[in-house]
Amino acid sequence: VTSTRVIVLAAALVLAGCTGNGEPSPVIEATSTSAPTSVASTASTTASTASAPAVEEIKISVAGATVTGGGRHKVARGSTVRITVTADVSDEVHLHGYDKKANVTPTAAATIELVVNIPGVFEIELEKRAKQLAQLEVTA
Amino acid sequence: VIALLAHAISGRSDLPLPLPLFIYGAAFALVASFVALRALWGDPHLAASAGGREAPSWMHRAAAGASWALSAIGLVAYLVVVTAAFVGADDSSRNLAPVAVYIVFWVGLQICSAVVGNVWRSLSPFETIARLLRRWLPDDDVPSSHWVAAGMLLAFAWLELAYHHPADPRVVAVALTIHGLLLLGGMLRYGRRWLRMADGFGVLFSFIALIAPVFRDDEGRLRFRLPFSGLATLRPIPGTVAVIEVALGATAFDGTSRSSFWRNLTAGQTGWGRTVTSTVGLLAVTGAVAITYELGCSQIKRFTSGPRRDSAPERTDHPTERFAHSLVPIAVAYAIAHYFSALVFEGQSAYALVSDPFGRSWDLFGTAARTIDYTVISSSGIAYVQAGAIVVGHVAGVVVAHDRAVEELPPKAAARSQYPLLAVMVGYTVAGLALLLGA
Repeated sequence: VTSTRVIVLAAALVLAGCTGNGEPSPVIEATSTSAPTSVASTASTTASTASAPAVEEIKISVAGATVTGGGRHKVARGSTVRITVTADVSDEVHLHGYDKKANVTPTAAATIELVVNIPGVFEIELEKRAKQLAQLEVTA
Repeated sequence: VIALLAHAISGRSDLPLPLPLFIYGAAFALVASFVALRALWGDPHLAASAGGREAPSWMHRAAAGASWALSAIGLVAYLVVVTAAFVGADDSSRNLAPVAVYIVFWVGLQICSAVVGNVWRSLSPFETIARLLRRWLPDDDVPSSHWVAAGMLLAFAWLELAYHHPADPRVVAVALTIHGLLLLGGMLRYGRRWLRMADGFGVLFSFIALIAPVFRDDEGRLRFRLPFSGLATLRPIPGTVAVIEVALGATAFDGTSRSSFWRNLTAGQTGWGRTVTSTVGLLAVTGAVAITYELGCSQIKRFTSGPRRDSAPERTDHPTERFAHSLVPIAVAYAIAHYFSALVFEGQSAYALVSDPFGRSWDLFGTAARTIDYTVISSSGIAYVQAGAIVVGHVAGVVVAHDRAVEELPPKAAARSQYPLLAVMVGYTVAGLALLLGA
């Protein structure tokens, strides 16, 4: 008798694991942080023309220990994302997971543009300093 | 802080658990707990069925053969990983050692042990060396204590979750050296039994293996039994409870460190500053897990009334030891919930790196060019595994605790005596799900 109870319990567990809709919460608009004043934005003007697909802009600036535009940026899977990083140091900006890299110097911003198709949370960091700048959350 | 590790290896972490899954999971855990109080069996059952039944002899022979093969593989793999850690490329993405230690060994073997039993007993290079040297090893009796094991696990958790450069191959080399010297030195002094006392990983894996439906008895014969029933045979010695609490607490801290609260707290911290903050966090969360469990157990007596069963075994152990085995499934569930995706994704980089373990542009098995395929499992698939593991772990914990309680007390009194521990377990489960929700 006892072993049947165990089996029933196990079956209930499996059922419990399968019920419930697991659809993730609705996609949240990308947070487009306001551009830091000093950015020489060469690329960001093209996105506003009507026919081109919208580009999710993520702008991060590093000044000493302060990171502006850090935190977590949510974008929908499949969208085009442009990450622009300005810094007062020379380093390499690395978007982990997607493994995209771009150099940044005090005079030139780093720009990474890509179509995001892997869901998950990905680190954006200054590689040489191992300094975490922000996270890119790609919703399913 | 897994980000530090994951980040060194891949830099991807899981999406937050969808809210409906959190609610269903937590609600199911609560309902299951009350069902357990009312409807579960009234007589102890698991310890009796833990003996299992013997496997057919051909399976026994196959298992014995597999055991020898695993010993050989374990020895070779260990030498390759140690070599990679010392002289391989000084870059965690081109060196086999970090991913082998943190992902394949630590995560992979926990899950593997729960499914197919104590494979580490065969795989462990130290067990193999002990078998080869058994004629020369002393037969000394080492004191029965798991405290060294608990310390080893805490040190490993610190390295993985608190130290700021866990995936640096040279750091892994130092860790492997300390671990190896401690085990080999102790073995030469105390004999093979030292491994069963001091190897934190081996001790934890052996506990987790009690979940598996297959095991080998004292004569080495392969036997099958009801999943989770083996937990009833866990006999705690000093330090055993700490081993389990550290395993649970470390994973809970890993979850905490992925929360936005923790990210904000450590924002801008790098290097040793970050290590110090994380060390405090690791100790605090592990301490909180330990204290809540001990508190829950200390309240059991207050809820225990009426006569004991005539058949009740004479017990001198403390409730924390009596119910320690019920925390094992919860610890495994936490580990699966937090590291399953790491195993699936980062594990793939191990597949590539075995072809080029030292970062010398080799391609031994033709897999060196493989990159991580992030589409092998969907993000909702991962969420189901996470919530499912936590809920299954909770129910298994409740069931084995109940079975232990009715050894001593008649059903009604036993159910009542379980209130405090049940409250603690529901707390762990809801907290575990909440950590995933806020990831």
